[in-house]
Amino acid sequence: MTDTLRSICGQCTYLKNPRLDFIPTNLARHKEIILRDLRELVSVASSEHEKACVVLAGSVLEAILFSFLQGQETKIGERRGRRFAFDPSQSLQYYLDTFNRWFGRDFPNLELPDVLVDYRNLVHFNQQLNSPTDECGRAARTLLRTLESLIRELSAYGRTAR
Amino acid sequence: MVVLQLMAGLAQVDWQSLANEANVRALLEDLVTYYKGVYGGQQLALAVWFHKSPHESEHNLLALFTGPELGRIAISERQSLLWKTGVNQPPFANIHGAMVGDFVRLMQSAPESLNQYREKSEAIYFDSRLLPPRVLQFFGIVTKPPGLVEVWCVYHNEYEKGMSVQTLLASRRGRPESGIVKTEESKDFETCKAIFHVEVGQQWRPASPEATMQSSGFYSDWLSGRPCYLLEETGVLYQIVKFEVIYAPEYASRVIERRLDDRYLEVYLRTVHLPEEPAA
Repeated sequence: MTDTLRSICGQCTYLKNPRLDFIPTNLARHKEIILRDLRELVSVASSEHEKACVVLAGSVLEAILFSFLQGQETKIGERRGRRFAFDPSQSLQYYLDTFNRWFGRDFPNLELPDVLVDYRNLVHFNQQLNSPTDECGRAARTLLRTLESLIRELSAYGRTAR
Repeated sequence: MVVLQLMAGLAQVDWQSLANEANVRALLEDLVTYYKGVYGGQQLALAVWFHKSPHESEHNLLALFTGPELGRIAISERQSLLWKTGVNQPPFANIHGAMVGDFVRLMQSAPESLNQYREKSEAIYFDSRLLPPRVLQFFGIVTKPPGLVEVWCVYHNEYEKGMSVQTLLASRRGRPESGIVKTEESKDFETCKAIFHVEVGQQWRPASPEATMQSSGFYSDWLSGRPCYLLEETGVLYQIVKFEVIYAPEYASRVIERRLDDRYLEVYLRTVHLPEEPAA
């Protein structure tokens, strides 16, 4: 038997006790929603609910990237050589690409591969139909571990950036 | 001495020129982002900045879209790149727009007419799923290193169901989650060693050892002594024998983006022979 969602959750200290200091204080509503979704995520993962875990983990992944990038407009602008205007109507793929492009080198121990978007898209029935039977479980486990790494790395970044 | 050489090198960099280039690239990217969302049924597949000359006030952009062919490349001249602010001032861009099908047809019928698009060119945006490989090659867009094989992970509980290779392959229609570039292979092809890769931003790059160890289920399985497998698109199935993190500056030539610390995650594999048909 491969790792259960419950056992993975048991090892994820940042998922269970998130601080989210990397989200600017003026984005309090963002933080509130993410904290609520993380609590629900830990709850469904501990109950081995794979699909619910994928839906919530995918949503939290997008929310964290969204909030982090929104708070980093100035830094991205400095790096790209012209003002960067955060666009809240974009897709998860866009946020992932933007994060990897402008912050990838800041986080050598973090990897956000393109396949994460496919995992999040399992929320769409057709995507699920066209996936292996165990894809939901695989996606849930990978998303949980990735979120743990993402929150840990961004928390450390938030501390050093202050 | 090294520091002095480095400082001398930095002094010779034309920072103004670099700043101009970054500025124009950012303006073109803003335009490309607009193009990505504006045409309902047509998707932007490629945007190439060609005849790059950052200090000029006019720039050139080729934009290829999906959809029915127009039969030509339409040129729209002197679009202000400051359009967002509502002013019609330099820098300007001459937009060469066409459908992917138009471009492919011209590659066959009049390839010389397309040469201008790769002169001093830079791909600002591409979607490899919407472009034939020959278009990517035309612009020198490299998405994978030579020899990369895309693989799916097969966990032991799936493997133990006794499925045939055909059944395993048939259930994998999505994007492969990993890739391998073999660095050594036994003469009988039964064992090999490979650099582990992941796809980030449509490019297959060597995986970060730490990130893989922390986030991947197959690494966790292997660590716990549970067998794990990798399935090639061709149907070859490997069992993961072990992982090793190695310092290998010489691998820079085997990947499309070398790791800054020259540390790579290498995986040792052994071929597994499955029956052609599912077990009874």
